[in-house]
Amino acid sequence: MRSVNTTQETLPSTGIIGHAGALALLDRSREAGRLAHAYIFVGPRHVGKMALALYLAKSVNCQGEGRPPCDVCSQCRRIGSGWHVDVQVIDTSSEGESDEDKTDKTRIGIGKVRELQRQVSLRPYEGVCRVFIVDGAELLTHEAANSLLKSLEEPPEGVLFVLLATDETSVLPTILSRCQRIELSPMPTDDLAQTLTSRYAVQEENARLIARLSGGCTGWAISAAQDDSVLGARIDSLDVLIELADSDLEGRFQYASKLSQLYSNDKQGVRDLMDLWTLWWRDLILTWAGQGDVATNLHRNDKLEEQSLRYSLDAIQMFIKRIKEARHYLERNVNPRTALEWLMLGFPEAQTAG
Amino acid sequence: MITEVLYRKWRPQTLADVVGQEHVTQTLLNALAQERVAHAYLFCGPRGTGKTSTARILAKAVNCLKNGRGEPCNDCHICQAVTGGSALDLIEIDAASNRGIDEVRDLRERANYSPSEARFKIYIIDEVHMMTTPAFNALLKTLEEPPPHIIFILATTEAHKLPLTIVSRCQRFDFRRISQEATLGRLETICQAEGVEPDPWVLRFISRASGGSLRDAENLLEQLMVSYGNRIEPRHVRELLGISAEMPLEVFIASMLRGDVAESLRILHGVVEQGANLRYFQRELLEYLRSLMMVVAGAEDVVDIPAEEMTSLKGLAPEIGLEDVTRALHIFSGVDLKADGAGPFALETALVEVCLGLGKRIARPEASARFSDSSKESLEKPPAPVKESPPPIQQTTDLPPETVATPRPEAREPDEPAGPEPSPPDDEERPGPEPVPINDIDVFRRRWPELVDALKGQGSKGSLDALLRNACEPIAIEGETLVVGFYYPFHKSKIEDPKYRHLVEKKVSEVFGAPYKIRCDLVTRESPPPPARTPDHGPLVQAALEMGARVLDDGLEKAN
Repeated sequence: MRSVNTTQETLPSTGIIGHAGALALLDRSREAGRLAHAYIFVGPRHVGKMALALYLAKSVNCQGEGRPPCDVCSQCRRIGSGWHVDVQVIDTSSEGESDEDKTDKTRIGIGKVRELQRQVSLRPYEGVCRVFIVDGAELLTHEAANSLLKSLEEPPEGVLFVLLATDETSVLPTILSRCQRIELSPMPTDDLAQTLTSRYAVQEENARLIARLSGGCTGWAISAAQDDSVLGARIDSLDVLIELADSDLEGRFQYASKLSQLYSNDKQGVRDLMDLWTLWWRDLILTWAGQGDVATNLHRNDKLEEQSLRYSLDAIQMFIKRIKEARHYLERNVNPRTALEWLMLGFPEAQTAG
Repeated sequence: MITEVLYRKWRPQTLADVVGQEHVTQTLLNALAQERVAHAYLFCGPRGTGKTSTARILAKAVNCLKNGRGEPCNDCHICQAVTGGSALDLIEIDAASNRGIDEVRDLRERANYSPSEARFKIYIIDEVHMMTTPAFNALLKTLEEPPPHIIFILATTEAHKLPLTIVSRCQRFDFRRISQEATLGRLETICQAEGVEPDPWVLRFISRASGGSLRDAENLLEQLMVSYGNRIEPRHVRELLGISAEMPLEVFIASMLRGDVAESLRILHGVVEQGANLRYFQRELLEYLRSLMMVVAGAEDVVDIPAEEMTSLKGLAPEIGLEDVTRALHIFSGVDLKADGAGPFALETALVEVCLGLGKRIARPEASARFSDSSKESLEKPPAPVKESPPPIQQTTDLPPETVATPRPEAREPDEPAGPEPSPPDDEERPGPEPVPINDIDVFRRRWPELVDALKGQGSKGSLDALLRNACEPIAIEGETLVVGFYYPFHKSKIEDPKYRHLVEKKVSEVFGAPYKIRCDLVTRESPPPPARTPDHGPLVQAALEMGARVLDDGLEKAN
């Protein structure tokens, strides 16, 4: 278990972008004195789950005047900076009591939950309310999730659980049913673009592009707005993927081997690339169907147009499936190079007849 | 600040309060009345159906000071201690956290002591499916013949994970999913007591959405109460669940099963833009497809839907084949929105799949509407976000949007596996009216093998010729530069290496009698390996060439 990691706090502490509904619900609950003891925030990566959890932690512990969280009182600031003893984040990297927890970095093991349970029984130390944020409820092992059930259902007074989940379907249903579920959906891209322009002084066209690429997930959008290289890297990797269409089998195999090397160091990086690619092909479908305006990669609509003419709808659809399958193979520990080469072999043929 | 949520506040306190499990509560009441309470119970069933609650009530009922042979009084100090969670003789064990054999040993040891104040010592072992196998086995003997003052109540959602030897030692009660009416009744009671007046539709909706779990239903009601106060209206529910959007399902399905990809995509995006919850959209879509399937199959009496929906279904049904509906149903039910990220992407591909499977030819819509003017504007002033990425801009100008309108001009050129950069040299390769001295390049082509042979024995391993043989061809002469087209990047990169390029350049000047610089490009091979330069010779000539003949008259190639 560790304290809040400040790097996860990508938002400025002053506010949360979007999620008006969720904020209103939490604020109203708190004002009416009807906060539940357990919440689960469900939403895609980078959508702002952790930011909202910290917001909640601050608002229950805030000692400032006016509408909490004030963000100026020591409680708020300590929570924001990750030093508050009573606000704790449990995720895959936190320390557990058993050896098993130290080795497996991809799941949250029962040891961590036992440690959490010990903490649950303690009184708040400096704040009003102990807040336990489980970052990645779907990453709890079966044992860990089950052993959380009883505490989650009836914790002692002054304990608040906030679970964050990206993939709700892999969360134990008995866990879900014990929490108040709040869904955080990606922001409408137009609103996000506007926020980026007004709050982060991003140029308008860039803001539009970032907003679309982020898919409405504010976390990524903000890091892209603040750091040019994030967007640049994404554009560059997309360019490479686009070029593959004009490459021959050898070029594609070379790329596959490059990717497989990358995969051994940076699995998420490759997954992101595959997602990026899938998005590209999806854009091709949209362009094909005359819906280019909702495409994500608008900055390359010349290529979109060109490639959508080149492939039949059938071929595009098949290849999207194939990417998905290849991803699936990678998750199942198939030799990455084999999986990726297999993917490349399925690269669609350009259609010959009009 | 943090209050008890509804599911804790409204935990049933008598057996009669337990909703929808009459088969369990009645049996238990009878057992209590006849003082024939068993020493071990197993409660299993889905989440939120009342297992733990019933276990606690049973603990009260057997120990109740006033009654003891029926419902607990909830008044005596033992009942109140149990409700308040402070009873000494009710030991509630979280088997998921205490799952090992040591915990069971400890339990067995303590089980021998008599209860401290009540008649029976009750062990509630919750989430019992998580115990380890040794722990289960260590429990067997105690479970079979416990001391007379002990009652075990095991509770779990996953009874199939228990060893049969455990199950057979307990009286097993299966808790059922709570029916919609029962849930509705309970919600109404809660609302009355809490002073909430929801629209009747709201409660019906909640009980339908809860899937038979009372806890889920109460959670949803709680959120609604907190968010919208005492008067809950249907629009509130829609707002909270993100289903405020109108679902144009009929039009959507009609256009999809017509094979109109563009139109159905448009409808889908309309729904997305309204901020609809896509999983809800999927669920509604499946419901609708199911009803449609029933109607198409002629089993409309099975479908329980409002009359107006039925008329719209019947209007749709005649145009639609049963096979197509069923397939659509199948494909959409396989859509996992969570696994594919949050966007509508998964639904889009499913929709395309349905359309493709119709066996019709799917027409591509008119090209003119592909990008609207507004997005074209953004094309013309493309984002220049980072310095490192100017390429997109240049390429944008390379291929102006005007090509959009013409069906498929050069777009098909790179069809054949082409080099990664099908740039200028690629064009010059095709002999055209360019100001390239054609004769010269033909000379080069013809005498190329000589050069290759001359390179034999050169290079670090004496195999420089191998890098050039069948791997390249001269494609153009630009002033003093000879452009050599390579089929594979590997060979190209080798020859581009200065030390080899130097050797080749030397040989070129020896063979052709004039100094040339070499530039390497990637090209598409025009014909199968051996005679790369004679794509259009007939098979006879081809064979002759392979046997060492040479074409003297260039007529053929020129005509080409």
